[in-house]
Amino acid sequence: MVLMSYLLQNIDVLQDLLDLLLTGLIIWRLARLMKTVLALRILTALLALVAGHLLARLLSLQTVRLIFDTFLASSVVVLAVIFQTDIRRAFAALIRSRAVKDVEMSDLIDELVFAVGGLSQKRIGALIVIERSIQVDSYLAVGTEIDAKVTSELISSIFLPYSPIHDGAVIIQRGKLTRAGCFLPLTQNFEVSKSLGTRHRAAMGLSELVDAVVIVVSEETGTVSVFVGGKKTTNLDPPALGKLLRRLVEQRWIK
Amino acid sequence: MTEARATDQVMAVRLLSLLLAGLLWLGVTLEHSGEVKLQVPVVLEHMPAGLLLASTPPGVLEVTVSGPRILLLGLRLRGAGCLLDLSGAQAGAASFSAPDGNFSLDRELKVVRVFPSAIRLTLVKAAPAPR
Repeated sequence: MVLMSYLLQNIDVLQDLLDLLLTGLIIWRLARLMKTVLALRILTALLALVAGHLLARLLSLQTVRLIFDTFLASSVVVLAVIFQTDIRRAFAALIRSRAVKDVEMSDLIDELVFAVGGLSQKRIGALIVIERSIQVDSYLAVGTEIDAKVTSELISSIFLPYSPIHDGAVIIQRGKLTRAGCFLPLTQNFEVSKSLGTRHRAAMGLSELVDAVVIVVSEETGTVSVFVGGKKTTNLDPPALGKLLRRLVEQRWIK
Repeated sequence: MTEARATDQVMAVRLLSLLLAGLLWLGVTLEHSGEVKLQVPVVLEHMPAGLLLASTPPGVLEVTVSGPRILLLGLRLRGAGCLLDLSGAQAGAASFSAPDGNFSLDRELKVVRVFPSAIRLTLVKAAPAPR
């Protein structure tokens, strides 16, 4: 109450506070369009430039000020050039309609279900990781980098026994197939049945560490299992797998 | 990356955004024009040989300076001085006004008022040294 009456009496303070908050909000919203790590780097660089400019101005360091001012003035163009891919992606994500996103989501799950169904029928072992909010990169070993659209043909061909990268996991991040042939950390849970194969142990191990959804096709039985949070859901037929994936994988994790 | 680390990074982005906004706001606010009153010491230089000061000059001048607040803040930190060049002075009474140049201020700063506005000095010839 005291604060409110003080602010009303000193409208300038209120104006400044509003100015500050709105500026912060605009910067934060712009930063959110980028990847967090990238946003941190850019914000730190801009902070250093603005702080340097203020310090140079305060101490009347004309040459240093000239350097900082030049960097600041060109920072928008420089940032736009360096991060053009991210900016393009951010704007594309911004203007893309929700309907289109839903179609993409549906496409991804349909492709996965179709591929897993085919592999299960042929009893070809498979291990597919769908990243959700927590990045899985730091838990992956080896692997071949791929940047491709998720298609049932691609997934099936990766897991064919004569494929050089069939013996590992396929990683799907932000709706794209980013890696194949990755080794995952095995579960350290002693209560797990000894009959559980390495592929299943790897699926369980990763799902215990991150919130990813891991799909496993058994090479021996052809059964399809899904691991989330160290818990296993098994004997899934294609419709059940599709239903489960639609429940587990939200739109925001595949855009 | 763990969930905790991801949350920490998001918090760091928020904090940096607010910090950057704060610095930008500070930068804009400090560019607004303001005024500051300073006590500026008077320094006499280049006293001609054979002349002596017969009157006591004021120790300090009260100077009001206007300009961007950030430069005024810097001026407060650094301080200023009033240099009086007596190289062309002759014996007798002389009055010196204090133009901006005497204070060695930033080009964007302006001297609004000086008190006293003029410095009056009386110079006398020094008696020759006894042989």
